[in-house]
Amino acid sequence: MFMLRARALAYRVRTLGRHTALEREVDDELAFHREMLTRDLVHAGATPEEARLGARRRLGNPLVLRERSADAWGFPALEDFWRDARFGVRTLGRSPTFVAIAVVAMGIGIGVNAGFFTLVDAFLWQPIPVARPERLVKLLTVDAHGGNGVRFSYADAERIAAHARTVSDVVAYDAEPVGVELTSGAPARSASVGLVSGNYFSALGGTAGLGRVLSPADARSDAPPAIVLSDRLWTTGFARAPTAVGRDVIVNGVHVTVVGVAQPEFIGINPLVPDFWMALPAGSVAGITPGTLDDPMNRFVFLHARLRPGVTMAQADAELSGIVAEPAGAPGSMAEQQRIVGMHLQPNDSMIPPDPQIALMIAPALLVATLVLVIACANLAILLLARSLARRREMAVRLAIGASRGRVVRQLLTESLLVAVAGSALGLLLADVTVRVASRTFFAAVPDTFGVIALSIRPSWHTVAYTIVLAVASVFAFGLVPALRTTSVALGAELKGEDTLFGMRVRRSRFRDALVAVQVAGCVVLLSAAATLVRAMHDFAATDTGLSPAHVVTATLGLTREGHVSQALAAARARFATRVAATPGVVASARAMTAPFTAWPWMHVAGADGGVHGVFYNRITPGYFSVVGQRLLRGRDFAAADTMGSARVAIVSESAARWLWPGTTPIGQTLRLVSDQDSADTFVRVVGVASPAHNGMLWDNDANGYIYFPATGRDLADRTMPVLARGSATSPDLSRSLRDVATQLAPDLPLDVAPLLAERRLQMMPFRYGATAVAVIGALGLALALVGLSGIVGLAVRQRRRDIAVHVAMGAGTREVLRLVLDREMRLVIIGLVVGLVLAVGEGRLIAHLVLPVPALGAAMLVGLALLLLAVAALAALVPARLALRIAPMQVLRQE
Amino acid sequence: MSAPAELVPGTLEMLILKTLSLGTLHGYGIAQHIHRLSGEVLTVEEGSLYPALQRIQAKGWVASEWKLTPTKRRARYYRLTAAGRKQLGLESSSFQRTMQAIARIMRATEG
Repeated sequence: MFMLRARALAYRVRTLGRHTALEREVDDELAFHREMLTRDLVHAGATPEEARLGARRRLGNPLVLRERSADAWGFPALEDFWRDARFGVRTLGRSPTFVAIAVVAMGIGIGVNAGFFTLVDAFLWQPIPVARPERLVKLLTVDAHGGNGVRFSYADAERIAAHARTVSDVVAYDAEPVGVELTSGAPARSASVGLVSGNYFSALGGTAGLGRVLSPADARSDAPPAIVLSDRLWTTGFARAPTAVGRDVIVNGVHVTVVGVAQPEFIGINPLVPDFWMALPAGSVAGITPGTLDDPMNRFVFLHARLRPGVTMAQADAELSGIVAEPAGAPGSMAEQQRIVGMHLQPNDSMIPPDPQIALMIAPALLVATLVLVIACANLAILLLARSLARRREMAVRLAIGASRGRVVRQLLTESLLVAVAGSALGLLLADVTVRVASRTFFAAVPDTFGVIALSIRPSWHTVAYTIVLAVASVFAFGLVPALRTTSVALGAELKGEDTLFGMRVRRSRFRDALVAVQVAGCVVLLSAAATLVRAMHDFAATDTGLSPAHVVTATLGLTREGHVSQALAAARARFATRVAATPGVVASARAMTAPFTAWPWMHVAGADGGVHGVFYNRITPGYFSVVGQRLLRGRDFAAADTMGSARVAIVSESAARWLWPGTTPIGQTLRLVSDQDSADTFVRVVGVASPAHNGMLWDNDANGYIYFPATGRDLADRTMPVLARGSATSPDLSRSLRDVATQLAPDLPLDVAPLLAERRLQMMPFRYGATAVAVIGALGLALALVGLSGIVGLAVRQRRRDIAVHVAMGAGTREVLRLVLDREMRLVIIGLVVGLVLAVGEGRLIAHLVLPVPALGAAMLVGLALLLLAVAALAALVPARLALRIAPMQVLRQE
Repeated sequence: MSAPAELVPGTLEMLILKTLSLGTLHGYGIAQHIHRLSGEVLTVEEGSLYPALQRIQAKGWVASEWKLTPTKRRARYYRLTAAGRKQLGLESSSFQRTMQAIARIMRATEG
């Protein structure tokens, strides 16, 4: 059986494309046969003329015989397809307008989907760019409540690396901002460092372009501090000089040696590529790591590892849990609450582990993208229906001369496929350009304090495959019904040139009705999704934060990590703060541990119920509230005396006061601060209540409020404590004045100045991109739907010319004619609107549930949207409908 | 001469193979042979014969080449291949069984 198949296949391959030669052989053979037959008939006594006719009669139609013989040659389906494709190209070439519109519509539909899929693929499926990514896992801690954490203490990292049998290549990573002086005496610049375990490069396949990479020897506590430069810092800081290796560089005031430059392709475990890498112990010496390395509560490194061959995730989970599980602490204590009870591994062969949660987050976006394709397909179906009207006679002729209906349908579908293929190519191109440009812009806008995103997101073969599937599915979605419709014509009527019976209403198809409704409904959903996000963006921008961030700038002099500030720098910062306060144009100034919108330190306090609650906090100098625009509702501001650290006082925000001391005045109350460490809890007295402020991420819930402590002398000495300065509305350039102050005061220290609003803008960035993308997609969808709607009304007018002509001949006016054409269409538009609104509400809920807590659109907004769409749809329908008014009845009726 | 009968469906390929097992022949010759040997009962339609020849050639059961006839005319001669001989064996034994089975049934119902 197999032999037979193989032989037949070989024969087909041999005969593929040789039809002409083979047909000639069959013709020759038949000619011989006819000759012999004629000769035998003559022998039997027939006249030569009779014999010739008899032979021809017996042999029948030579064309049919030839066709039937040809079935054994080559691959008939393939060759039919090829012939159809060539024929399709010729046919399509004759209607360039149709092709242009169809390809662009398809290009938009496919492009949106391909672009979306490219992003999903890049983050969810593309292997992360390290060596052997297949069995890479990310390590997560499991706490007593079943919650997962991603950060480990260095001690845990070392213990796992030393004892784990189920995983190998345990790598630790943490990124931190630092200040570096590349040559001594040069001003420090801010940079990002990747703090890594010694095996980081070897485990992930990172090699040196120059010098060497870090090795486990560099991670010994007594090893001389060494750094490996990224290709970028080598370029910007050392002009790619080979002498960079061996150079002495100062990181946060500590001398380190450059031992090498990493290959430019090396990205590491995190797509944010730092300026240089350093071993974790060396980083601790340079004061870069938060806290010390031997503190088991100091959890800050991310851990990744490779699952050993033959080991299941569950086995590794079990083994590692045994290694890291901590003994139970005192019930109710902080240590007990944060205790690690186990470990959980997550596949990390792609950027984001594709878990169900992520899939859900993607769903609303996928819906939006799919809708665009659905609208595009509806559009194409309309175009094809319009075309079929013009081609019915051609089809009738082809069916009449013996082509089977299936064959003609196949040919029409091939034409659709050609359009889909061209549209998909255009779509892929659009997706590639858009995604590349957009992602590059987006990445460039991310501040480089934590590294530079080194991803180049391009469509992979996954995307191409996805596109092909979509294209083929689309062909059936938009091409099948029109093809069947085109070939179902009544042959006789068509050849005789009769479209419809005189005066009879043309039967409307459900398919066409559905196209109108689908387009409108899809559009409503797209536009409402866009409106939801755009409005959310505006809402966030307009959120009353309780602060007035305009005219406020933050300024940080010198770059070092908290807890490692030299006395000289601390003194320079203090002088700077004093000088800023006296600078003309500065209305008020203060220092704070964290500027609003930048970081959200939180702590635990004991509430009125005796339970432990998390609350945000800040350490500030007197005058902070007037700088950021918060009001003091009750009590007093901090005084200079409070900063001495002798008086343990605090100011609470009104929202914190409300749950801490419900019903009583908070002033004078004592607040218990629950220690995160094993040290004893401390107590502070509340001296003031500040107006509520929203300081965190725009969508964060900080209903628990804030607690403010006076910055102590130690805070001011050890911490960065940026200066916040409020300028008057008339002072033109506050940043410039502050820079001047810094240059005069400490020319060798870098100054980081940024408007407070810049931080807010950064938070808004993902929204802006998301809202812009969805708005553009919505606009594209609307444009497609308008073209489609306009096309379908045009089609209706053409199909019903006679009907309309009769009405006009019988005295129908403009109004009646328009109603005749538009009545049904507009009714379908309204059905589409209603369906769309229902779906839009669902989509809004989906977004709010799965992606971002944005409020759903209100009824007024939805109705407004519907009215807008109705108006636009009416406009789109009216243009072709006016054609109906120009129908000259006598001319049309004479054609009957 | 008895009345012409229809070919039993599915037997044409077998008949061609059987005919060619006696020697090489051209298409016309095959048709003539079957017609004559069946006592002029079976007539092979040319419309079926040539497509069938293409089919079994594609399956590799027969091979063909162009040769001159004794009367010096160019004609395509078909020849049975080893695979074709094997196929003929399979088909004729299966045909025998079927015919015997049918014959038994016919006898039983007649009796």
